[in-house]
Amino acid sequence: MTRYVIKRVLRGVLTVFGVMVVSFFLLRLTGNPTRLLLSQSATQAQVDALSHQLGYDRPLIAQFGSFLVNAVQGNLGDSLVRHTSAFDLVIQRVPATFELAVAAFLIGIVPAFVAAVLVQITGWRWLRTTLLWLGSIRQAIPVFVFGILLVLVFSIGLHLLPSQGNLKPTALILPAVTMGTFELALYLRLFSSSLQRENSADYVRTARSKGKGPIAIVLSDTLSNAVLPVLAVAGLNFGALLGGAAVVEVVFNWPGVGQLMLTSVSGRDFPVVQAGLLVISVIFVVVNLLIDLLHGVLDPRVRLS
Amino acid sequence: MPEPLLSVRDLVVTFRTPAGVLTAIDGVSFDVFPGEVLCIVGESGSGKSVLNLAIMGLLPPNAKIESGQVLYRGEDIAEATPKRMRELRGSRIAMVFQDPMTALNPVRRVGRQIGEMIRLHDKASTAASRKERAIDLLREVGVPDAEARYDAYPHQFSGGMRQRATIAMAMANRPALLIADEPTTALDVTIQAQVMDVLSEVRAEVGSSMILVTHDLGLVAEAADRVAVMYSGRLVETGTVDEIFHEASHPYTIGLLRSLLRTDSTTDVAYAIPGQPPTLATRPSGCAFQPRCAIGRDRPECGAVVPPLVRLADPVVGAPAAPTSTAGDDDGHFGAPTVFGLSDADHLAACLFADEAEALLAEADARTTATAGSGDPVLSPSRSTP
Amino acid sequence: MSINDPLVLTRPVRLSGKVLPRRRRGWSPSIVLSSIMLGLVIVLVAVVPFLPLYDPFTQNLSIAQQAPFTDMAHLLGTDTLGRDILSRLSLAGRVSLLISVCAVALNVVIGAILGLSSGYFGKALDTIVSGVADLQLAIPIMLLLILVVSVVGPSTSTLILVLGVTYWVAYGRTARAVTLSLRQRDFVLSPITQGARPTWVIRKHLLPKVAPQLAILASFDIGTMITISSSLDYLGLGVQAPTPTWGGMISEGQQYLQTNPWLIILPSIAIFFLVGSVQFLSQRFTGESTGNSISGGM
Repeated sequence: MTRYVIKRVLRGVLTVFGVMVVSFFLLRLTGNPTRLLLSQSATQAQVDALSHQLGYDRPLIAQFGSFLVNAVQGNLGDSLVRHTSAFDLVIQRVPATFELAVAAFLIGIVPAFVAAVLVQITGWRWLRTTLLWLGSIRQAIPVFVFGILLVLVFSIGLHLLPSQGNLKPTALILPAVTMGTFELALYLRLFSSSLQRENSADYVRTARSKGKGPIAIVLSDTLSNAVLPVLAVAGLNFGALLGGAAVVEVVFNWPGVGQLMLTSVSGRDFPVVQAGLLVISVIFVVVNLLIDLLHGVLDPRVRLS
Repeated sequence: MPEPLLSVRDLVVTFRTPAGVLTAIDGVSFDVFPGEVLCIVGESGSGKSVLNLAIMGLLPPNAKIESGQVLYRGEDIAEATPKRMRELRGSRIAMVFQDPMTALNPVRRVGRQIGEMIRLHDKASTAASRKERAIDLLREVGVPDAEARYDAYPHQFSGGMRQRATIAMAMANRPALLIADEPTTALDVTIQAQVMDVLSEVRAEVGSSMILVTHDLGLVAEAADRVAVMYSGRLVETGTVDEIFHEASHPYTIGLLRSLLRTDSTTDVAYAIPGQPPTLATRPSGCAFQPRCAIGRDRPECGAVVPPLVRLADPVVGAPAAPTSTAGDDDGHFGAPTVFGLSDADHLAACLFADEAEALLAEADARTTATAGSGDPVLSPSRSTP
Repeated sequence: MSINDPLVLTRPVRLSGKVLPRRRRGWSPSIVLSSIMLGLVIVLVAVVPFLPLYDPFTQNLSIAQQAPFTDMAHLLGTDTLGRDILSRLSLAGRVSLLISVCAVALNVVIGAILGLSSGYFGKALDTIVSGVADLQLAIPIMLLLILVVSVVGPSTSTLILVLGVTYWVAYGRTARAVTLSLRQRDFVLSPITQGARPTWVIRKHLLPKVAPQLAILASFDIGTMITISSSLDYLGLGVQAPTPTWGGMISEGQQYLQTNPWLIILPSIAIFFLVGSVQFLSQRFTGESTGNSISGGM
């Protein structure tokens, strides 16, 4: 287990390093980023002066080195618009994005899990078919379209739920449902195919030969094996939710990281955009690391090897 | 004659497949008496395993018992409710499967899986007593350091150890009938004998009957009291282990025995039955073995009717009870058949020419292999006609 | 060994040496429905441009925001600037399809090259490609695109390029898995032992086995890609005005949600018809249990 943990942590660190490399060099896609900071009419002398002041005239490797050193200390530069730490601006928005992503994640995975287990125990294939149909139709509607349709029905039509911001607790419902339902079909397929595969495994036949009942077999034998392959996918999808939240945050005016990044684009406030990308990626890596560790806890073959 | 523990009567099992309904077991009848070891022999696909699953009530969803009875102490368990079957499974009838690598749940501790077997049939048992019993069982089947191994997971066991654990699990409730489906096939050759010894020992100690499915004739000679030979979903010959090894009367059984590499054989060329066993969909009408049979190949009557399983006309009185020399590992432990009141008259074969099969086969051999120089019949005349 | 594996019996059984064909399912309602939906979209993008309609850029504020089916000259009504919605939907569809097909094609090519070579050569290359794939999955593509756009500014080519290099992982993994499964087979090994060059072996023996698998994945991903690119259009990060996009039209219409929901409903239906039909049809090929394991279609 120790080796497994060390390996996973190292891989996580390496991934974070990779994200830093990518975000550092993306900013230099157009060469010297000083140009992005100044207006089009700035003279070459002004560019050179600022460039020197910000260190952009140093060798690329040196720049990357100091970027790394600063980034590790949480210093990702100042916002060009608000002139405060870009990192702080992003961190203030993280809880909102995280809250939304977790709620959406649960709305996607919990019903799928319950339905898949129910279908496995009861043999109600119609339930699975119906949910898969609904889920597939839902998947054909992009998140922003579905969000707007929900607003049209539940906020404008029925006046039931707030459509903007995160001030009321009920405001979480629409954006979370919008994102979460997108994943329902995916998880239902994953869980039920995983359960079916496990259900035809030899150890299930052994359990039946012991005189164990079908419900007990699903709950105590099949399930613990069936969740394992779903875990990794769930981790990746949680990351997709963190990133994809940007669209929902715009639709519902939810004050998360994605919304901050998008408003920063128009002001060319790239330190904030870069900080947002870095922070979300690190959260993604940490979440997946935790999921890997959870996998180790749940699967003795990983834990004890 | 004692009451049989298990009687299978005219059992027919069918599978629904994309190619239509196929008959996997086609009218099989046999008895298992208390305390005896019945070996079911046959090639892959002959229906041995389906037969066991049918007895256990564990057929896959696309299979069903079309007709016939499975009588456990007189009770037709083919008709039993799922609840009644669950009571019987694991407590009265237990099973050891072929592949120990997959038969245990990989994410649960071995000891717990054994303890669960006890709990399922004795709800009043305490956790402590179950643990104690599970450790005892592990010790009995020769798992070293049983206390520590109780908490181990299946992947921490070797294949042989895992099969010992599944044997311990199967014997946990001292079942009256143990069904072992090729219990050593998936193991290393060096481990097979050890595991088989353990299985035989614990079985003998509890006094369970055993249905041992195998295609290893050496194992049959060593472990069986009686033998049932299956071919393409039908029983083609049954008899005591001596009758089968010394007086085989069905051409298929004779062919199987010939395919054994024998230490006393004058030839080092292994015999192989020509052709392939039919699949369920391609089973020929009449005797399923006909296309491969040296006797029946050219006889229209063999292709016309399914030969019934009949008592042989020429029972041999006083067949020798001495262990055969076929098996290499012969400690005599289980070679000698136990006496349980069976007469030689229970030697049955499903061949129209059973009484003369051997002679006819020898004749056919002489014709076809005159030049090959390997016409030596495996069953030497001195043994088969004393 | 024996038939304790029920699969042995459920597979098509050989009769007289031929494998029985699987029972073919007829035209299920979902196939009929999605074919109709796809047909309507094809009519929209391929036939509508030849109709005598108003051009998608002509503004006429005096007839702004007409409801559909009220004026035969503007069959589906007009938008906030009085432009003909039907012709804008049609042009937007062509743009969306072009972007999605280009982006998917780029991804397939990248994934095939990386997957085939990492599966074939293994070792260090495999480790590096797997590492890059991990990295790829760790960076939310939406946020990556926001960063790129903040640096180089939004444009159609940026959109295609970024989408085209960020969704290759599924193809790479599939290509790698197929390659690994074939790597030790005789028809691959024997030319290698006879000194064939790796590129020849890959092109001649591996690619033909990998390509169909990737094609199935790609057909599904066209729908995903349309979803993603229209999300980006909606956010203003993709194709820029005045070129119409379905996402852009929805974004423009959002502020009139209470007064004129048609501005949103019509492009939404267009997206749903295209994405839905492509997904349902490709699910017939992939079987319902597969499909894309990573949603990402935000």
